[in-house]
Amino acid sequence: MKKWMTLLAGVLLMLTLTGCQGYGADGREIRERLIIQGIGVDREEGGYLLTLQAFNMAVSGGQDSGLSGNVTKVYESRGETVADAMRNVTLTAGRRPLYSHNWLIVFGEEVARAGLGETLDFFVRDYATRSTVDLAVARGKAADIIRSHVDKSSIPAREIQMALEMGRVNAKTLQLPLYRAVALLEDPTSDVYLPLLKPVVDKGQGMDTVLADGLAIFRNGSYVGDLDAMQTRSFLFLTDQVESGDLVVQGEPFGKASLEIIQSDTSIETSIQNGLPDYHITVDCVCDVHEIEGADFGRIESSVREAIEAAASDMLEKQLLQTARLCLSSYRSDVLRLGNRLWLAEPETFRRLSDAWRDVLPQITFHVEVQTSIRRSGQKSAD
Amino acid sequence: MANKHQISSTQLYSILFVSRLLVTLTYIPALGEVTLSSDLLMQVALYPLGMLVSALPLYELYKVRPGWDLFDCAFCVSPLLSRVLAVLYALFFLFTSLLSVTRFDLFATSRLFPDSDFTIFLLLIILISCSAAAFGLEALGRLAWLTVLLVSITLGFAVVVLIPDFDVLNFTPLFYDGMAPVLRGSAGFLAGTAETAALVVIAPRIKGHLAKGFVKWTLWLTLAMGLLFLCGIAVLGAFFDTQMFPFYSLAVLGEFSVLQRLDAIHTGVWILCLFVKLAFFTYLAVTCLRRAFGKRLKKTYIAGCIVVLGTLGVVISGGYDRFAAIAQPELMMALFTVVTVAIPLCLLPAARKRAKKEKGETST
Repeated sequence: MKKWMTLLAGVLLMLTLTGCQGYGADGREIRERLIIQGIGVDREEGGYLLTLQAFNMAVSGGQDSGLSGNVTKVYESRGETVADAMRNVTLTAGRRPLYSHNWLIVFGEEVARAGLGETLDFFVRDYATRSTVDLAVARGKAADIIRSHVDKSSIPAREIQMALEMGRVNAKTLQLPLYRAVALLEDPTSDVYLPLLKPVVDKGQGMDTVLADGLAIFRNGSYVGDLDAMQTRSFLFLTDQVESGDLVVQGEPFGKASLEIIQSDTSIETSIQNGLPDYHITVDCVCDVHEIEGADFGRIESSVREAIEAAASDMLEKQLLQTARLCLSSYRSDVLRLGNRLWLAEPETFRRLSDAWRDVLPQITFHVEVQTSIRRSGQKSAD
Repeated sequence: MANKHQISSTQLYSILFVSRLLVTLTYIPALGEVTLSSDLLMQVALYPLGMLVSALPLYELYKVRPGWDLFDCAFCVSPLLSRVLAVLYALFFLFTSLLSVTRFDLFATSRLFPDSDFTIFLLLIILISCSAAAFGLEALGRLAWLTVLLVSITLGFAVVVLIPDFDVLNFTPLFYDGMAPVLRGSAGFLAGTAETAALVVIAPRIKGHLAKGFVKWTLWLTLAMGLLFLCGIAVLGAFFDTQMFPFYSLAVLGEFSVLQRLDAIHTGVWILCLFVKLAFFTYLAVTCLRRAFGKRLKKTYIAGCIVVLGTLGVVISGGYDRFAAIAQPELMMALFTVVTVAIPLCLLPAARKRAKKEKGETST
């Protein structure tokens, strides 16, 4: 029996631990795959235009030149659906696309305004796509973003994705992977938001590059409005996603002060006032002083410190309220996931209001309280 | 009735743990009704209660005659009944194996190799796993221990690294749609635990405290299922329901530092779980067949199981509708009720009567 089992195990190993040979027609050889790094999705009459940034095997396989310059190549493909366009790239590239190394999917403005649902379906349904890929919306055409040679980097799509990652540092953009975007789209009341990317020209180097330019706000899956960098920071405060960032505050006793956000914690309490939801948002923000315009290299008096803290709190309260109003009243979008909060806190009220949630959003009352505290004032002696 | 092929209760419950956990790991939301996220957790919370209640007839039977299996009890009523029940249970265990293998086939063909013909690999899995039943319980028990360890490490890693991604807003209020969906869902979880029926056959071969082990097994299973569902809901939110195999999608997300893209490791461990499960249920089916038709043809029975599973597996393979037809929650629930609750309950009076009679004879 043992001999038989050994033989069977051997057969299994031979069949499963094979190399890539013999699968050429199926495109199992790595050189026969188009290793996608970034995808741009634009609408065209009668279908989609996909712009694919893929490894240029001719360059990236070289000994020295591989990573010294751009190792990608851009392909265009058209089709009636995203899947059709994706298949059609084989007509020009001569290789089957491989999505497992894809960093970024960028939707053109027109696609985003028409609604993400149908476009995203391929990326959710297809087995080979990864749910961790980051999504973004282009100001204009997605093709311009994908074609951009960011700082002549080796893999431009990766550079753009890294710029989105920096939202953790600057609180002016963010990363939203596919699975989180789909979760928001599938949620009965929540709306999705995606980082905006803008093609710009770097005049210093005279080349095209890409700027992370705030957030695209969606309602029922369609792009309805923008948040600029400052509003994006407020949005991140409201949704408790701020990890770091800078605040520039102005005041009488200190002129301009630059604060680095060290820690931020947002809590939201939900209650019902006159039959409508009422939200009380409390933000605790801990900062370090980075720079003070009128400090004259001297110590920061406690009165100045308190003035900076008060100015920062005041500024943030105003910005947070304004951003919340913009999302709720102007865009009628629940990107703040207030519907989820109401559902959890007051299920019966939610049952009553959920069908007309979009109409309820502008009527929601909102209170913001920010508590800023300064932890350190830099390397100079403290008060 | 003593049997020399004994394993410890820990080894047995390791096999049962791995076997049941595989059902959760390959959980398909589309098979059941749409349930709100937090209600899924309530279903898991009610699961141990259902397990303990449903196992009561078996426990009573075991208490009355600890050295007997169900077929010995049936023999008191009629030798023919004992044979009929042995065949019935053999078919049930084969059906459970078929469900496991076709569920895995669905997983492999929709997530791992959708462009390839999985038939040869499927047949190889069946051939090797079922043949391993010949090694007996002890070998399986030892392998199950290792598998428990591997599953715990891989899933534990995924859960721990995903904790920072938990989002409270992905939860829903409890019982928002009432109690009925929760109870139906919990019954579905229960129906997926065909392992309880294994005790019918195997109880007399176990060393150690069987009842205590059962409670521990149920609680560990509940904890593991609870953690998986908690993590799945808290991280994936509404994305959970959009996925054919949400726990695979979850496992793929678990990355830390250079430990990234661990899909292949998870898949490997899950295949090991399938190996243990198939080998164990083939062993059970063969044991039942030997009780029904004599002990001599062990290898023939194993070969028969391979042929039946291979044929049906290939027929059902590759089509979601065909799999959904045999994996209907109602059918599973009916089978679970018959083999785990109804039959032991019906045999209980006869077993009690026989025990009483023997006690009387001994005292006189």
